[in-house]
Amino acid sequence: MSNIILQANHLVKTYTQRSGKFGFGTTQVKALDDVSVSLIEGKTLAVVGESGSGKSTLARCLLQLQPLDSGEVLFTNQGIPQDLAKLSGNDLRSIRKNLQMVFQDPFASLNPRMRVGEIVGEGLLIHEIGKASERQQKVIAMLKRVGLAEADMQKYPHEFSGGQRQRVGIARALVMQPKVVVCDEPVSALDVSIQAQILLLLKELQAEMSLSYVFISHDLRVVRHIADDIVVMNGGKVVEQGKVEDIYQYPQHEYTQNLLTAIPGKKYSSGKKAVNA
Amino acid sequence: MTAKMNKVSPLLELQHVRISPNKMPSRMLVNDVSFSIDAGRTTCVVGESGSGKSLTALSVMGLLSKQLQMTSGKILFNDSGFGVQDLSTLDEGGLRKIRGAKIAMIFQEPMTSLNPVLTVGYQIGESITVHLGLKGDALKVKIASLLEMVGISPSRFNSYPDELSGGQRQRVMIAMSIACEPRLLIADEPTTALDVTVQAQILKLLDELKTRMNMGMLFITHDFGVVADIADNVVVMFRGEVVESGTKDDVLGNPQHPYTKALLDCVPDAEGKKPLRPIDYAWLKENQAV
Repeated sequence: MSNIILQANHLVKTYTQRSGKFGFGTTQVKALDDVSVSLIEGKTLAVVGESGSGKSTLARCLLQLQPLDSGEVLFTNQGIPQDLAKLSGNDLRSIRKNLQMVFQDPFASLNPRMRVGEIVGEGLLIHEIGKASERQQKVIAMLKRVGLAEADMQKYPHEFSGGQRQRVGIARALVMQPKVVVCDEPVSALDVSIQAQILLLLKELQAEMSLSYVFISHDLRVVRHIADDIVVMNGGKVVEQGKVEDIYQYPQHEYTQNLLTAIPGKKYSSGKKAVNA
Repeated sequence: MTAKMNKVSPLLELQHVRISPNKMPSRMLVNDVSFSIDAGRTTCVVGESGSGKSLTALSVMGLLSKQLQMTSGKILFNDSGFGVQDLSTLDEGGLRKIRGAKIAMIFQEPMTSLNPVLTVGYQIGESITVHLGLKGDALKVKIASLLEMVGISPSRFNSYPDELSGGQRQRVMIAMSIACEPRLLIADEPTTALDVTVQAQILKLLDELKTRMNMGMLFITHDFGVVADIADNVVVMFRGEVVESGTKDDVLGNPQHPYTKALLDCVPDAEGKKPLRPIDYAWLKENQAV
């Protein structure tokens, strides 16, 4: 039995771009063109596509970090679906603690002037969750859970490696005990060994905290490992969606087929089987 | 190749190259690295960030930052007709004759390597004029043929870099690099910033050009998938040292070194059959593997 926790219906988002000589003209770019997706509770929905496909816009619009032109985003909290696109101000702010985001670039997404303890605890502070001592306990527990130490609270982001910073980013998102986490290319900037660590950490945390992930990625090898369902986007449109196994084995759309054949090393590994031995 | 060339030395041979910061000569950023590249073959150098793979490539071109120095070793370049010379002993003037003409390089981010205020045609022409002395119509013909070779319409001659997509920019970089028909092409993560479908096209293009021009290629990457697609030989680096090297089939199919095995184990496979295993550095250290 599967409950849909986040359901987006007919999302449309258009950007206006300056164009032509000296930017005097304008063109409309449809970043989301009638996009509908649904996220099942406790599962991972991967959104894949190439640059410009609209996958990051979708991530931001799901969390209302960007206003939609039209469409609805239904978030089901304690059995009651609410349209996030219609909420505003305080209502949206209070529901947002259930919806968190992990960003791609762990160098750009952490304030360099804040200590890690402040960064991770800021959400708790804003939402006035618990007393100061309780908040601190939560931050410490979360940092430990993602593989950092209590002493790291006093450090600044620049004192950490890329993988450790991504752990801070994950701790910041998860300390709020959210229901839905949108991960926008969370491992793209990391070395392959660190990437494996972070993917496994995300999977463990998902099971422990019964999280639902929207996982934005351009890397189909990574998606194969983390996702349950998958949405393939191209030019602002969903070209194909379904179960991960089905899409990888029987891609229907030509664009999906192209993406899958372009995975580097695929010919070698399927021809030889040796590379993964 | 003729029969009497059977004792031919490789196109490029690195022997015991060591690189350290000027201020800390005891700290080896690249430690005793040796490998070779033959004409018409691709050697991939793989490793994590900080493994010294890019420094190794830069040292071949004599492009190390002034704070770093090559403390020992030889970089032997076999320039047909001119004999073998040690690039590490050349002065700036000698290197300038080789860079761009005999050894060319392409980088990860094509936009930062192209000048935004000059047309791509002009930029491709620059090194041809400098090294081959072509001018006027002859130069234009040459540029047009290069653009065609890398799969860009010659009508793009007067385009500026910002009018091109990432893949097209990288094609322009490739056109620039092969303009003087170099013997060796150094490619430092040339496809890392590109989409997968574009990456596949660029890898195919590089492989075709390598065969057609009988170039040697030194290809730096962190992606074993790319290695599987493009390499003939593989060199695995870890913390400045070569831990394993050999043919692609040996290194990928039958890795000997524990670090190589561990690194291969954390690459996700497209079939999703293999469990992901991060590298256990503590275990490697305990077993004195690295």
